[in-house]
Amino acid sequence: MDALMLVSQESRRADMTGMNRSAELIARVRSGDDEAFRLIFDRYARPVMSFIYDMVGQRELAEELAQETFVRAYRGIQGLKDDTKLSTWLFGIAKNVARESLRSKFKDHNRVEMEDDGVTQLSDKELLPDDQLINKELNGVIQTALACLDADKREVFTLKVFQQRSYEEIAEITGFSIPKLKTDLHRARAEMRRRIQPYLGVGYEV
Amino acid sequence: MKCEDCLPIIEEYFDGELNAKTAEQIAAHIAGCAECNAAFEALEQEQTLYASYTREIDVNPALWAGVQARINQEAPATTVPADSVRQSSWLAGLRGFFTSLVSVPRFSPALAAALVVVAVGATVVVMSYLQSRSQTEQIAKTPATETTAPKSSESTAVPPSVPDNGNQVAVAPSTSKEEVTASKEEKNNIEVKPVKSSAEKPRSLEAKATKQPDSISDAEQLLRDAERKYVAAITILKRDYDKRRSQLNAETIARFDAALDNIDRTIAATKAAVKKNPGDPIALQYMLAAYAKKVEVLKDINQGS
Repeated sequence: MDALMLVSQESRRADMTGMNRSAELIARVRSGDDEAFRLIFDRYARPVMSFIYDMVGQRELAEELAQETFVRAYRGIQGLKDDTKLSTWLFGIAKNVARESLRSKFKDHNRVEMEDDGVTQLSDKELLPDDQLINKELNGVIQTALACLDADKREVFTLKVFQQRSYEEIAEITGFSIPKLKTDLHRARAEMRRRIQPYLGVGYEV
Repeated sequence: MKCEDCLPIIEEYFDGELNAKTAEQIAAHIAGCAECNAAFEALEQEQTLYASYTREIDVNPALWAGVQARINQEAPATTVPADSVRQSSWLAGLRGFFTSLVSVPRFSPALAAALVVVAVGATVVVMSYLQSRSQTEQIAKTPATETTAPKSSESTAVPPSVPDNGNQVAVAPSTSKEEVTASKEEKNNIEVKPVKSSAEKPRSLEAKATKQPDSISDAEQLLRDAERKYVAAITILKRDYDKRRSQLNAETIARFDAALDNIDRTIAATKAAVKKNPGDPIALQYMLAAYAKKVEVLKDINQGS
């Protein structure tokens, strides 16, 4: 197979990804079209894996759990009731997979153990942003701050701030009530704010 | 609107979760309130910062290959009945799995196990039924004359380990027509007795077929289905083994191949017997037992090698 053909296939796949609505893809998967499931994977793999990574804090584990998420999705797609909520449904599976992993792998499953790579532990005195290092530092600070949130708050914060989900979607994914998730989100924002404060131009406490 | 009304819901406003009317009121208040405006800008700054967060993760081809491999293994066992169209689908999937060259091959896949369970289940039900019929009819004519098990003198004898239920279970004959359906009670009270020798195999089922044509036809169909499922399971396990061969030493390969050849000869012999006596439950029994043995040996090889 030459490179042009590969490029063409990738291009076709990208076009189809843009064109197909979730419901159509789901119908195709249900009828045995595995290529349609590949399109669903292509569309959602990154956000799903990002969400899982934010939940568990370890890259290899996140990859493993993302695979598990899509395998479960494939198995369960016959039972998906509302085809327009594919994304919410996938995140719900990912949440369950991540939670199960946290329960089994970590003694205190509310807190995650972070990988050393990319994580920068900084005390208040050290928080003097250097332009050349700021992005790496900031990544480390955010990652560490996320890990310090309890699982409920981390879940809600990640879904809102990073995944831009509505409260209603977050409630469906997590199973939390709207009032609970609002409270968790507010507290999570406050905790995160304290940790990233040195990187903010304005030190305002909401 | 006052600050004490605005600040508690300013995050909801920022998140776009308020209704239009309240959102307008907040917007109007923020425009004229330095404190609330600062709170809103703080949220914007935070969001900008979070938006710059990058994770050291990558959706690489191995990720999909891993998903695909597991889907190809598991899909038929969960969503696909064994018909030809879907079988071709999972066979295509298996090809994808073996060509993915990513991730460690998983041996003794769930699909093979599921197929064997189904096949053994079908064998148990049908053989129990056929035997109960044949025994009943024999007993009706002559008193029970149990004989010793054949102990298959050939080296290719089929141990009963996998199809115990189908191979060595003799259902106590009923005395009435109620025996037609192999009831749960009968299955729960099964008695393990020596297998009848092939010399004493029951009379041809053709006679029974005239009495219960639909039941016998269904039973044979079930047995054929069971055979197909064994064959499918063997295909999968054999591919696992073929994949693993390169990791084994020549002596081990020779030993495994000899064992498999031995069983293949048994399968061929039992198939020939079934061809000669298509309605003979004992012949079918031996054939399915031979398939089951091959599944068992392949599983042992894959797990142990």
